[in-house]
Amino acid sequence: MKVHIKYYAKYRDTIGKREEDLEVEEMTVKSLLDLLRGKYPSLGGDKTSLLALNNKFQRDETKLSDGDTVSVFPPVSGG
Amino acid sequence: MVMDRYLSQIAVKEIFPAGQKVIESSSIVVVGVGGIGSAVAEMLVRMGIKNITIVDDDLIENSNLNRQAMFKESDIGLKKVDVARAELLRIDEEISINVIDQKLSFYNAEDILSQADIIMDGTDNYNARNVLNVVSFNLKKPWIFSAVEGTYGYVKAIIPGRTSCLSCFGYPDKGEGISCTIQGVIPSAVRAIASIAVTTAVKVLLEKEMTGDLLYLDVWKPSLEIMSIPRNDSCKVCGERRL
Repeated sequence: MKVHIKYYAKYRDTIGKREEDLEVEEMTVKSLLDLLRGKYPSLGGDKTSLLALNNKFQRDETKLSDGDTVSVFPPVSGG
Repeated sequence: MVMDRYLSQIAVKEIFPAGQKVIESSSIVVVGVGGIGSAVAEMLVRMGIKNITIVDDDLIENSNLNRQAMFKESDIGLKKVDVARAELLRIDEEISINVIDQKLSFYNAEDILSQADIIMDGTDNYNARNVLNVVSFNLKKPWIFSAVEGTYGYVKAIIPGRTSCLSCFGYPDKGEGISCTIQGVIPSAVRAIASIAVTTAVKVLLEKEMTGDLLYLDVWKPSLEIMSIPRNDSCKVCGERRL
């Protein structure tokens, strides 16, 4: 199935793209994050990345569906 | 003279007619008076907040001056809370302002936060936000999460018992993060995030913000995204099925 990935904030620079389509097997939100960390080691620098599925934050075990859009955000600490 | 001061905002339908009284009768705690916190405190006092507590144990440094608008060159080396107190009283000499020259921790948070109607996040690290998240939930006090870096940042209302909390969506609960001086941040991003945080706080006080959506703003692109964050039953802080 195909999912659309959107990258935000510093990930756009470290990964070098704003968005992409990926062909993936059936998987959960957490599995997708693991896959992305393998594909883009710079993502692994953050212990936690924040993932929204179709503009809604979901639990790690939520299963992806064909055509889903996944948004990937870094945690931000500054103030 | 006092009423004249607020005429322009009372004329706004979202505030009129009762909102101003709610604002003026509310107690605010601002934790951290750096970039976001000092801007938030200034805006809230200008809007009519009369009872404010500011919490910070830092001294003013030269590297703060590009974005922390209450501070000037002559303030370098002074305590942030002392200078902020003087500046806020210069805006409105009738405010009651409580200054706490301490870092927020699990040892002092309950005392500091218990009198607040709403708590504003001006902190700059994960540890402090975890304290805010846990203690605010225990006290049933709403708070406004705000964080900024580079050209972008987040704002979210956290209303215990009603919205998701910081832990519900996996925000880190440990660590100092990276300082603004090292990770970089532009002043316009700080002000934009502070402005949205203040607006969100007023909406919570007026009971017009109940969603707890996460707002992401990038001032450079510019872009604005709003994402819902459902409550997580298994959240270790607020989940109803937490262990």
